[in-house]
Amino acid sequence: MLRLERWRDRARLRLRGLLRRSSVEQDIDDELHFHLDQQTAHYVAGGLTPEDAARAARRRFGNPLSERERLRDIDIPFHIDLWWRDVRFACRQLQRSPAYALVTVVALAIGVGANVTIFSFANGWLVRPLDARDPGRLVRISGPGGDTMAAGGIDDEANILPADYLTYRDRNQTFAELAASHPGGPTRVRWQGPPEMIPVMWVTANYFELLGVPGALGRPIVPADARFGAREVVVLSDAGWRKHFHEDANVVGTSVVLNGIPHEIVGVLPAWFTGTYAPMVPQIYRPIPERGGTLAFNFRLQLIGRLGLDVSREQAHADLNRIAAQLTAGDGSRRAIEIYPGRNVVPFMLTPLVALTALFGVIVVVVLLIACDNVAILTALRSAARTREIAIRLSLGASRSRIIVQLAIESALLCAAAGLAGTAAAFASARFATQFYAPVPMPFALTFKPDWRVVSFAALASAFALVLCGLVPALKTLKTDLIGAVRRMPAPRAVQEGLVIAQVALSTMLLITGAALSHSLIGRTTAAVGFTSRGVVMSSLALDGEGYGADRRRSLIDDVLSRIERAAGVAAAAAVANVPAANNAPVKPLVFRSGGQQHVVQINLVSRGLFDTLGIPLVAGRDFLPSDDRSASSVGIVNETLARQFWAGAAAAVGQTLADDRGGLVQVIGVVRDSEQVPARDQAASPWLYRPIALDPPGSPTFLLKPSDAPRPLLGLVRSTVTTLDPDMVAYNVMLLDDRLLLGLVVIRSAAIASGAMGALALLLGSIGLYATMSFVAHQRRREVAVRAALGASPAQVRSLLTKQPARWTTSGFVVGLGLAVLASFGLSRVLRGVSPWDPAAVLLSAAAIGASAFISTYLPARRASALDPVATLRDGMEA
Amino acid sequence: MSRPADLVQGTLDLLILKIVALEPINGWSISQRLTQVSRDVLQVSHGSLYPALHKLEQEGWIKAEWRATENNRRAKFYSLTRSGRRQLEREAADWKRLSAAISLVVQLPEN
Repeated sequence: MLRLERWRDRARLRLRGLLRRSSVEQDIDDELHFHLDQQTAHYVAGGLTPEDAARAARRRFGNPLSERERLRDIDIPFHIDLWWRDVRFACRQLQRSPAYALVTVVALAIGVGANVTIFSFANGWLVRPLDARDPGRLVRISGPGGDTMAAGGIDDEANILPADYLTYRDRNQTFAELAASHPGGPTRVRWQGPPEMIPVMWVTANYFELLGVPGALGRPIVPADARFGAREVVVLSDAGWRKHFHEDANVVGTSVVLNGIPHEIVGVLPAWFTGTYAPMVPQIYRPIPERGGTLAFNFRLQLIGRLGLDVSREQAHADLNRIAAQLTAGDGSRRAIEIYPGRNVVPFMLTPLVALTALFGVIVVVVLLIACDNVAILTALRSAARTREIAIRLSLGASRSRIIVQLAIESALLCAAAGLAGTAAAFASARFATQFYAPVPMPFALTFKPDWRVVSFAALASAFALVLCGLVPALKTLKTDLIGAVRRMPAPRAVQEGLVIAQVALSTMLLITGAALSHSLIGRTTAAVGFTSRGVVMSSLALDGEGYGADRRRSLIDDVLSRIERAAGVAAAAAVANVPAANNAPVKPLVFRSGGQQHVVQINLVSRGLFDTLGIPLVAGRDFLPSDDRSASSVGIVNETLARQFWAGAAAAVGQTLADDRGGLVQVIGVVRDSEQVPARDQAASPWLYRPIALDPPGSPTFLLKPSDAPRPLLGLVRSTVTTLDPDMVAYNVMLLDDRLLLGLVVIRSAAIASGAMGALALLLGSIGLYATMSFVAHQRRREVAVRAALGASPAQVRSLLTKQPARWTTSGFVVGLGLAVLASFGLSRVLRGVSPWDPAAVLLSAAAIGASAFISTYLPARRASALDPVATLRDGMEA
Repeated sequence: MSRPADLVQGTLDLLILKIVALEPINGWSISQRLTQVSRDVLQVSHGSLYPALHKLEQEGWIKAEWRATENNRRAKFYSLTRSGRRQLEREAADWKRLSAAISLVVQLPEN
């Protein structure tokens, strides 16, 4: 208690001295003046005249200026000038060992930078609320399973029916406002140029009012826009305005044609508003029309609500569930409501993002630990080399606290430099990552805002590094036996051994897990899909909207297909609703009965020529014919799994009839080999039924072309064909099928690459630490080496002498690291399903890499030591 | 005025702590009080007094506070902290041991 009080008093005084120097000086002046005045008064009382008294008092006092200086030095112990002097001194010291400074800064910058990058994304994902005014009262509302990936499907019951939304909106007693949105598919958008396919976000007219988002240019969507007979309007997001509208400041008031219908652009939203569907970035917003008390809209909605004052989430939940029960009583279909906090990220993306962040969070913390370990090794070596200097300074009367301060300032400078460099690198890499737009239906962007949390985290990480790698060795340095240290260099310490083993262990762990992760993740991207995607070119068409009824779509698809299959350079061509394995537009599965059992069957709508185009072998029967495509006859082709599940096999299947649970009949005309239709499914093949695309011509069919030779010339074929048929049409998703398949795995692939890179980084840092240690040890033992060499030891014997110890350290480190990697693999297989990070190949590879790096970092210094001239070394030693 | 006895090194702190322990007091009064109490034997110059006071304050043994004097002038008054009291006891005990030891030595009979 007493001690604590005393510390507090002292700290307060020092802080005041440091921060409010002028008031400290003023106090000193006042105190000395008072003394002088009292002395004068004392003399006057003794009988002197006031003038004589004042003179006598001043004479007795001496020089008040020098007195003031002395007191100031006591009261302002950590004088700013003194600090500055120490900083300059530290800079000079660091200048004298530039390699140490550089390696330290780079290693720590890597460690801090990696952490700041991950933190800034986690900050965006986990902490950041919706971009809105007063976001604390906002919640997201969904049906059951709103936080599972299923909610990403637009038809999933996690999203809410438009009619239900209106009921919730109008009957609730707990919300100030309830708005809804729906991510629409790519829409044909023409504005002062050729048409483009741009995804559109549908929002209820009260959406922007609820969020409190104004227009940066013009105005947002307002309730009047949804009324019957109102002009058709759209609003652009900042991203959409920049990407598709050339940042035109006069865009407001111009007309844009969506699916053939002119709309007026009434506003551009501010840049801070990134939408409510993060990480997806909406480009254009359209109002969901509301007519006569119903929404003229057929798709399920995602809801956002603003809670009323003093309403808790639980109360709102109960309120909505009460209404859901009423709705269920009305139509008999069950409903449930879930409420999620108003985070920036949509709930269904949160789980995968959290898993990814946690994985990388652990990795980057280990990288920072390795970097700190590395720097601790270097600092300890440097301190050992400086023991003599420090001992001399101590014996010349420098106080230990002064030396600690100076060493700490050196470390602080390095850590500050590393913190700044790391943060800058993190911001740059994050900016680079946020510019990455995956061309999935809605542009996907990692949002990143360097707010105060990120900056404080960077400071915290640097401080952590400072304590770990700067102060600990500095304190150690001071436990120095003065006399011994001045006389001779100290022996390398046992602590070194621990640091090196820890470093090798951590590097090994990261390397093994990184390699294993990359191995299994990249393995997934190249797994056989059961068809040949190589060289196949794809292009999608948007046939949604006014003027494109089913008949028009059917004839357009057939026209385009007939033209492109005859075009030069095309070996085969087909149109599909859902691109195999890319799974870009899944068709709803159907239930079929067979022998009293019900089977869920995956469905795709395809034209003639698909199996030819993708090289999927026809096992029995025939392919679709042009007549099947035009007449939509009730025929189908099944895969082998289905044929096995329903009948004896392929041969028996042809000619059979499938009955779905609504009485529809499908005659089987052919059987094809199984092919993996949906990526990254680890289960056994599912039953598939292919039906003619003419049955239900999709709004966004994709054409696939197999080239007879080079694929690239075919990229423009569908686009040019379409333009001759319908100038308002546009082809999108124009790319090689291989590229598209890789895109679907882009997150997994980047995770694999990043974890591999982290492993490599760990290896690099580990090698630096090992090399520095070995060089130092070799230097320390040079006299011993020289004596042995002089006594007849061969260079090989000398080398083995110097490499035996590090070999032992490396081996222990590797074994510990292997154990850690096994532990990590248990954790990993829980976070990432389907990934088996325990991988003997990765262990062997890592062992080889660690071994090689250890060999190089110990052999080089050892060889240098063995090549020294023993006589010269010994003579140097005498003189030193 | 007789030449003041040189203060034994380190005893000034003890003297100041003792004087300050009696009541809160300003710097000039400390020097006056010291002279009075020691019957003019101990005279401490301000050149030693103020640095010693400020050092004791930095150590946390005494604390300072600006207050009005009897004739209503603003002056810096020092008073003892709790840890200062402990320190005073320690230093006083040390001094007693030391002076007793020195007395023993000085009183050795000479031949």
